[in-house]
Amino acid sequence: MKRSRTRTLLLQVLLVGLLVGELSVVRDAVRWQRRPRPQTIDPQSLDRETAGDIRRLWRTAFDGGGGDDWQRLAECYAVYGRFPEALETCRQARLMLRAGDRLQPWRSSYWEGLILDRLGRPRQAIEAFVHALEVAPPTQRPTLWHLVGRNRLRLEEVREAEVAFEQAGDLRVSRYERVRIMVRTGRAREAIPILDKLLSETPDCFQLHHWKARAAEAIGDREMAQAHDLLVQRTSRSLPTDLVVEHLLAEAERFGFWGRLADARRMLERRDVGGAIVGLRRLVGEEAHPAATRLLASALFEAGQFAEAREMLGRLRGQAAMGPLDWLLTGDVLDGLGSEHREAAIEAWERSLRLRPTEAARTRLSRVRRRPGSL
Amino acid sequence: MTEAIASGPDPVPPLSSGDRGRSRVTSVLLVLVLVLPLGAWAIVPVLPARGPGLLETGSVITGTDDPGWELETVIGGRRSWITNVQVVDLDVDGVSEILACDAGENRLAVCRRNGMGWAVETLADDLLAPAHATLVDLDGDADRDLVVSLLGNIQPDDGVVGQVVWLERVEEGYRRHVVLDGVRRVADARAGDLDGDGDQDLVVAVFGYARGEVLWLENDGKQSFTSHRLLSAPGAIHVPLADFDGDGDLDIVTVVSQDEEEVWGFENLGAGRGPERFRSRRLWFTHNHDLGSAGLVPTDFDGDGDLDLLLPTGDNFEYRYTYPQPYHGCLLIRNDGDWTWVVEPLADLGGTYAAAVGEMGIVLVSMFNAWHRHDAASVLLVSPGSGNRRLARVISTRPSHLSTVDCGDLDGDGRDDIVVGSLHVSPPFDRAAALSVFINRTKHRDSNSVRKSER
Repeated sequence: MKRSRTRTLLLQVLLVGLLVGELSVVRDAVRWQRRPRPQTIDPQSLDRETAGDIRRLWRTAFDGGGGDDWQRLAECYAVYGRFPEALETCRQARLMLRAGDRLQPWRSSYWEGLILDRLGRPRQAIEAFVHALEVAPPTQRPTLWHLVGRNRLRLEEVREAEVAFEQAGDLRVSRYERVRIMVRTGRAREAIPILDKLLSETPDCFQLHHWKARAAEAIGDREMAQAHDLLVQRTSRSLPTDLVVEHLLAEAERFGFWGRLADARRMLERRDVGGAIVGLRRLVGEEAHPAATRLLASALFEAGQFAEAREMLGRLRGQAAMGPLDWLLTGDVLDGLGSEHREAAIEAWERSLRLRPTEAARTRLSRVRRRPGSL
Repeated sequence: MTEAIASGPDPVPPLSSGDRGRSRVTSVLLVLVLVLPLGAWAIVPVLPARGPGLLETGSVITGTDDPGWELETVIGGRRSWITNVQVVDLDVDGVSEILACDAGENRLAVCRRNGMGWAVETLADDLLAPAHATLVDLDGDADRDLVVSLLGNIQPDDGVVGQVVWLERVEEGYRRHVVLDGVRRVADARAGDLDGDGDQDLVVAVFGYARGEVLWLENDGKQSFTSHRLLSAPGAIHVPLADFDGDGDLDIVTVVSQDEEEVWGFENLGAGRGPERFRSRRLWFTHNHDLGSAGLVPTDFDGDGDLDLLLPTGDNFEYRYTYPQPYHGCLLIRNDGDWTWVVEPLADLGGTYAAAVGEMGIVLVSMFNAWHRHDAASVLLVSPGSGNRRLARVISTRPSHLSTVDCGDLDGDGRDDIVVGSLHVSPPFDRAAALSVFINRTKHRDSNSVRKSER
């Protein structure tokens, strides 16, 4: 009797253990099944390469991806202008962080700020940048203060913007913004020493000369204004002022179409024309951006594949995207195809010349006209 | 039998209540152990994933197509760069045509409506990225010439690539003269007698990119021009001429975009040579570098006899994937006389790129709305409501990417229609056309997707 009870008890313990194990497995299965689904976007509105990248990133994030995977998807959404989806994905990335993820809290908030900035939510963007500032390494703080300042300007909170730019310290573009505020709010005299310091660092920056001229005009120094006005035209260096756009443009080269296009450009720089052509052929579909078609035509010309280059230039014409350099290349390609295309080549070069007179077009035309039997 | 059982050598003792309980527990456990995985196997795979959260969509103005406006496609195409459209009577026959600057095809085109649809004729080609054309008798020979502003490159470019071209009307067509060269991208050139000597002078908006200027070109009477600089700043878009201060001569206003976001006035002093003839005044500015000024349209909005200004805002070309911003739409810069101007918001529309005035109200078009949304508005009509209120209603959600608009009677029914042109920057292009018109078929002022104009 006692033995039987013991057996029953043992069986029950075994069954309970089994049940607990099963429950644990079922709980994990339910969790997996109920895991958060990232935002989706309609791939119809994207080119093939970008849609493919997004599909892969989405699957990685959804199939048990951690914070890093979600963040990557958010960044891809952001650089392709899907800001509402990017914002939600970026916020979810923070909740999905797990051991081994490399996403730093300041970077997460920084991206959230960038996305909110482009989404048209300057006040929320400031909150995100301020949150990033609280946890960011010192090297990142000037940029974050600058972004706070720019968003304050979007809200017309000029005093607060100036304070933020001051916090950005020696960041050149922030000092430039302070100058602009000073000149526009009737404090040109205050701006001049800052401008002088900036000009001593970058004397060939035309934006600085422009604001020096405006400051001088405001304080009634017409001679100084005229001198710097002249320098605006004679200098060549530009100061990038929109750090959000600069950042997004650079980050776009990590993903999809713009990433592949950047890869192809790098290959061409390394003289790997064949590799560039293979990559570009994949990009050039029915709805391809003219930039890809143009680059492929140029690479094909360089590789001596004139017939295909002509086809690409024809496609570019169909996209109504022909500039003077495209006509110049059309002439070169037709010339490469042989003497039976000479007249068409001349016509293309002449078209290029009519659109914009360049030495390159003139040289080609004078060269063919000197050839025996030419027009 | 009963006894035998009762007296058997190993009788089975009756189960106690405790044993029965244990047995039931075991049975339940057994059932659970079997049922749980089976149940889970059946149910878990059909459980839905946790859905994504609600999207913050920002400032997207949406609506539906108003059946009172009949859409006709004049020039089709999924990727086009129409920079300017105007309703004009080019051949002075009392019938209006559309004059279009096509920067994709580098041409100036005229579109005429006939019984079969639309006929498109190229007036002049090999014009590199034309941005605007002004119809004017520049040489005083009683015909209509054209003054065309050429960007030289529609993409951002700080190079000296702009031109102003005079297309002189001659018997066989147009004869081309370059009247201004060696300048950065030119966005606009307007004509008027600025110095009172009886010939047509020009005012030029050199948009440039990072550098630009506003010039006035003094005509010596033989269409040879001397250039005078009025302002040095990048991003001048339009330079309308009118007598803004009511003193009988032509003044100039301009909007400077890029990082500056300023509206300037140049008061014609009626005397003085070169730049000294004008007194420059900054009429308005904002610190919001992201406003995206997109043009300047003079109109007597309040009917007080002087010209006010409409400032469409929404140009965010900086990044290729632009999103509607809360301050996009249209500002009214009201002329209170004596060069005093008061600015007030007129309507909201993300990515507004142009405004035009018609008898039905002010028409705004969007180039940078959230085009992946099929209900994102592309054409908005702002008309007077009761009291000081204004009503903004969506005319259409297609075509997308509209960069230019004008109003005029195109079907000869005496009512203003709307003509729009598209500039396609980034996809989707699934509801695209290069040039379209909305023929006015409205019977009464019924509203569609009415939104009060509030900011």
